[in-house]
Amino acid sequence: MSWKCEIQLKDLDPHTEFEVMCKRCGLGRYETPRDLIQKARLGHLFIDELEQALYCRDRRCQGAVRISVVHDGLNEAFVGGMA
Amino acid sequence: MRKPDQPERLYLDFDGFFASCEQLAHPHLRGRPVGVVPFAGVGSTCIIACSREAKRMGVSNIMPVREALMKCPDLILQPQNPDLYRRAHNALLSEISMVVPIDAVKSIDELTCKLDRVQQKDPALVTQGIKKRLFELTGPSITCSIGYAANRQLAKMACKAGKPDGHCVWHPADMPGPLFGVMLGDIPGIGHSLLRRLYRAGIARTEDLYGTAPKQLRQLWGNVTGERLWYALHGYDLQAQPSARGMYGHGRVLPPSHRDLKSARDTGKLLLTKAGRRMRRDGFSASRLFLWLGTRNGLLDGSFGRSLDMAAVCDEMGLMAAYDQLWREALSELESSIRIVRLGVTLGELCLTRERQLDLLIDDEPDRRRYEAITEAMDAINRRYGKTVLSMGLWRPPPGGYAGGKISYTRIPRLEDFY
Repeated sequence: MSWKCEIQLKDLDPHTEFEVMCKRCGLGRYETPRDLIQKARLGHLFIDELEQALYCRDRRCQGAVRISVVHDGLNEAFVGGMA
Repeated sequence: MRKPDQPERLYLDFDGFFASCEQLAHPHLRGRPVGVVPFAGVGSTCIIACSREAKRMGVSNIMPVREALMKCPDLILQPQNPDLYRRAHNALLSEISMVVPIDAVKSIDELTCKLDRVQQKDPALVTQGIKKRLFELTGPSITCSIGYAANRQLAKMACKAGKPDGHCVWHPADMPGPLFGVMLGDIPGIGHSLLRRLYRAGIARTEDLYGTAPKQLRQLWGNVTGERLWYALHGYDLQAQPSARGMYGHGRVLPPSHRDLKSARDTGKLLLTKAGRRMRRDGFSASRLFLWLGTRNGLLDGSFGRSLDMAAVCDEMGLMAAYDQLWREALSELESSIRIVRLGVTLGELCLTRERQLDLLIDDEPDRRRYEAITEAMDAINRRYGKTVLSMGLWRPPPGGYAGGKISYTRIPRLEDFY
């Protein structure tokens, strides 16, 4: 079972960054749970359901999207070869 | 300093990550020797990653393509696809974080976690959970090795000892036995020059290093890293200190068709635009711009390097003005027939834009504000359309693609780095 079927939008940190990418045209954008919950009231959705609820922003495309979480905040450099 | 008595840290390293991602995305590559190369159709480059099948034939990472093809004539050369690796990285990390929270991402294919008390008692269960999820998501294409130990450094070494597709626990109670099975040069942080220094000091084996006093290692290293490594090898809870962002830059080896001065200048401008976007995204301004050119004049290789002071600039117009000035200097010094083989642009001496000290003697505040507002609007429009629809001058990416989207140890590109 994928993580997308196990987590509801409201379970995530409100500032988590989602990358929402169109499967058809590749157009991407970023969303946060806070915005999706406040503006669209989608907090109860599981992430796989959210994927189905969102679509490409290009009006000529409106294709299905793929959601992934951006983990940029966790990046840490090696210092002198030390992990 | 605390010395854990349980394996508290997990270190995970994906096996041949780039090649595995290619095999996952392209089913015809599965089970075959694959070597990932920087660009298509370039025979003089090197293999940046290879699949398990290629490794079995003697191919290794950073091996010249010609040598790799001699060892493995059936090797399939696959051009890199950083966007694919980035997306795979994000998806895999989400799955792993369902088993154990991720503490730090060390590179696109390496990460480390801190185990809770229950997980410390049974690391095998954690490995099983992670590998099961990865298998369900990717099948047998992407595998990983996982190491457990008292700290990150030992866990990383345990992880490497268990490769490929391994699970290796270096329990603190069993140390230092497993550590002594590692060659001195295979310890992370010990490179060729340091190894020579250690040999000269009579330290030839890991046992010798382990038995040396921490202050002596500090002296041999010439800084505190040596002492820190000593404590890490002895199982103390120690890890790399968080480091601050020092610069934003991009470099590029130019294809033969783009090695004239004009094409090199255009490519450098594009790289600077991308570096500038990244810098603004993180809220920084730069006070120095560096330009480096690797030149070739006939058979003679040379270089040109110059930097320019700026007044804490983050807007596109300010950056381009500084870049043009550096190029004017380059053109006045370089012969017109010279070829530019590679170039690099770097924005340094960073400060947070909201905290920057503006130049008291240059009253450019109204202009600067206008330029910054224009730059902000350009960035917003490009973000909205998911591609570069607005730029200063022509936007002509060099052949090979992925300009500014290169993956490095400390940098995992984002979606917007590819447009």
